[in-house]
Amino acid sequence: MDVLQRIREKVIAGDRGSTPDLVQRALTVGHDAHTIMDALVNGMDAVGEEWRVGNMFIPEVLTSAEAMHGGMDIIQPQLTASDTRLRGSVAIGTVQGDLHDIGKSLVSMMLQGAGFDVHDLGVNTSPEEFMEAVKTHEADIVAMSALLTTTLPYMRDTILVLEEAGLRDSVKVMVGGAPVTPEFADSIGADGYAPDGSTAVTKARELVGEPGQATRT
Amino acid sequence: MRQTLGIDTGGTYTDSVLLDPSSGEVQAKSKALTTPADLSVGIGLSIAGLEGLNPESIGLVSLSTTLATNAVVEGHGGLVALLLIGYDRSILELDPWDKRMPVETTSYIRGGHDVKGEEVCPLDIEAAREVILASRAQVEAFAVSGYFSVMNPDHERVARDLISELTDLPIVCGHQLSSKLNAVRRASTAVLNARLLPLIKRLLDAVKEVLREAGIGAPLMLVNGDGSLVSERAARKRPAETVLSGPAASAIGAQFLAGLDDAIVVDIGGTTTDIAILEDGQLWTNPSGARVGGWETHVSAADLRTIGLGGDSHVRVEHGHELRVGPQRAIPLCRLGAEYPAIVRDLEAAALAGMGRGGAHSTDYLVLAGPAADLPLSAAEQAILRALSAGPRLIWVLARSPDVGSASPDRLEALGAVRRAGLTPTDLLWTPSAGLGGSRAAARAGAQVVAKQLGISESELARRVFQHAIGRIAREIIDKLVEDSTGASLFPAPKAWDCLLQQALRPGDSLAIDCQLQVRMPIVAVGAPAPSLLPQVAERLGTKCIIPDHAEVGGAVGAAVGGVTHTVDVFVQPHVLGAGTATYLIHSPEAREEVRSFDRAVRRAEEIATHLARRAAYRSGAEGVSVHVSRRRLDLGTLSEVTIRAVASGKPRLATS
Repeated sequence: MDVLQRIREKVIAGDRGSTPDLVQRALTVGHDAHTIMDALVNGMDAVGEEWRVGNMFIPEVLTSAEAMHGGMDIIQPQLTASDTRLRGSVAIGTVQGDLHDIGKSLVSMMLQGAGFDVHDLGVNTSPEEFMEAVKTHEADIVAMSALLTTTLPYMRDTILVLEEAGLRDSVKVMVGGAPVTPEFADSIGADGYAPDGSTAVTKARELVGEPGQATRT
Repeated sequence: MRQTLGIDTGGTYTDSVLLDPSSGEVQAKSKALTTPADLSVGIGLSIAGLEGLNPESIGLVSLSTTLATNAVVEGHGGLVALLLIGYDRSILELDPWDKRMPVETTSYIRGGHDVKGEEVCPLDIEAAREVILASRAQVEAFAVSGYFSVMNPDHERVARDLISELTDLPIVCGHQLSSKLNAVRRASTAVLNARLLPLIKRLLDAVKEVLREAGIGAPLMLVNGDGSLVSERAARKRPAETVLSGPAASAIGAQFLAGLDDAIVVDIGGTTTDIAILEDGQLWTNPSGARVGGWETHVSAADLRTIGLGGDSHVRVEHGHELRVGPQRAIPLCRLGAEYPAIVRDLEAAALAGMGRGGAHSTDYLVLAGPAADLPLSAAEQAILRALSAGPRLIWVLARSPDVGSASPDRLEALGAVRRAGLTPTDLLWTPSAGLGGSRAAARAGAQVVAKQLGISESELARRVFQHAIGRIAREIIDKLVEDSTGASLFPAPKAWDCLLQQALRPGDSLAIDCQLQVRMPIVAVGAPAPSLLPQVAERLGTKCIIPDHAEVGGAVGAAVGGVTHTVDVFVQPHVLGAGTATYLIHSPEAREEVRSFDRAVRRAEEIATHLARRAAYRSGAEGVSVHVSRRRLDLGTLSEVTIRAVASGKPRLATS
């Protein structure tokens, strides 16, 4: 099997040990860093799809993501910022008062896998921290996660804080999490809602204006 | 019988009508030239021209004015110090906003609130005091905007009190102007109001004096940008709301005169052309605030497209060959020549002698306008004023004087001390039948100068200028219709698409495609130059053009038929204090209150909104006020947010006989 094909398989299998080695080998035999990155991202896209249809579970997705990142670390020195063909910049976090990490981290990794420049602000992120991150990283998208009904008001607060800062028109807001519905997203003035990580990638691509992506709310 | 006197003080003409409010009949109309140096003169002349005017029978004087719009479009205004409380510099520096703000000083003061209206850090009163003391001598007004002041106006209020303690200057605070978020727009809106304060004061003082002399004692009201009326007292405090007053009044007047509820109203004045859309008899309004002359503001106004193009737009040649029309205005040469016949020979000599002398300023004169305010002027500025005391001078001739040299007259123009005259479409449209006099010789001589610069005939010059205006208006109408419905403008479109649009608007041979646009609504055109331009615009857009009776005084009619409305929004939001406990915050334009239960908060917010709207409508000079209250509720999990909107409306109070 082609080394690139094997890299893809190792990412899907979540093989954190051998993925970096394979990437190193691919470099040695003369593949360029871009081709290798495509293989890694391609594997992660497949994982996202498997997870979306219910064939994989979150722990497996997370190990796949780690495998992908292990490979990325090897080729990173050879990729300059412009080479990475980033799709856009995302500031992502779980809202204030909410310590749920897994769903947000999953979306974060899948967005990275899809080529977004992701700034993960962690959990318990205040509206002001989201706003500062948008400013600092000139983010194209703010992605907020909330798993508690009681923390939903902070999503609204974050949007209000972005409005007051005059940043609301220059950034897209997407929201997700168990208590969040498309209607809720719409009512608080968000631009997009995604029920899961894979849809989040599709939605994010759509929000940064990539043509040819399916519209799914 | 009570009559309403409607007056429209435009950049060029001052129109007035006498209207019977019960029948809607226009009983008399009159038109005079606006006199920018002292507006009262033109208003007086316009009123004096009304046949059968009986001062005793006037029950209401209602005024619409393009003064504020023109000032913004042309960048005129008073000198302002801006105090920003709790603003983050980095937000303002994301775009060149800070640089663009037309203020004398911008100061960042520590303080400000958060999204819940909690103090982020105490107001730095000492710093504020220093800034006020340092800037008070250089400015005519202060503008104050605090971060999240719509959630808590305390810091703006403290700053306001401090300013009034240290100065007698007028103060504009952000929280009084808007209950919308966006600190940048709020600051722009405050600055805009502050800059307009001296201008509106001058206008209203002049009008009241003229009315007094004419024996008219009726209350005076102004038309706001959404077409509603306000008392002159209210307008003095929030002059920016009269931005777009002229075109809003024109749209309302056009609707009234044409008897149409769905139309595109195009009002061509001297300085600007304004496009408004009427649907079901209502003006389209922009929910996030009006954009005027490139300024994003929170001013609630009819959603108008304002183009810096009108009868008095400045026609000039740039880079030796590019014909430009507007957006700056100039006193038409025919009008300058009527007052100063000597300029005719001056221009004729220029046309004969020098091809393109003076470049883009080949026909530009400077003329003394008003008294220079008590402000320090540079030596060169003083030299300019001295030279002009003997009469208008060509700018490029003036620049050869050693004391003036390359000094710019921009500041003198901005201060209103001097005005610019030059070739305009009005000169090219000059006909004896236009009726308002003027020197034909001066208009022709100016046209010769510019035609020679371009190496074309005078008639070709006129044709190009009109084609330019017609094409521009047609494109702006199309773009407005597209942008209003989709949020996307045609103007940044790729070149190929632009060529196609061009072909549709003005068929030529360059493309092997014939395309045709068909706009569904008719165009109703008002304003003096409308008959010369709008029928051709309508033809290009595949629709018809209606120019109703009394169209030339459409704004004055709109002023006379308006009503009073005032809208107040009160915002109620939850405040999560900890696990399972929350209170509700009520944010009104007056204060922030905290209550325990949602239901009580909503009831209280409705009380506040109703009271404030009713009071504002009353202060705006309304009677028979009724208030309509609506709620917009947002469920946020177990908690809710609600915006209460109270709209108070009534009729203007008439003088009792």
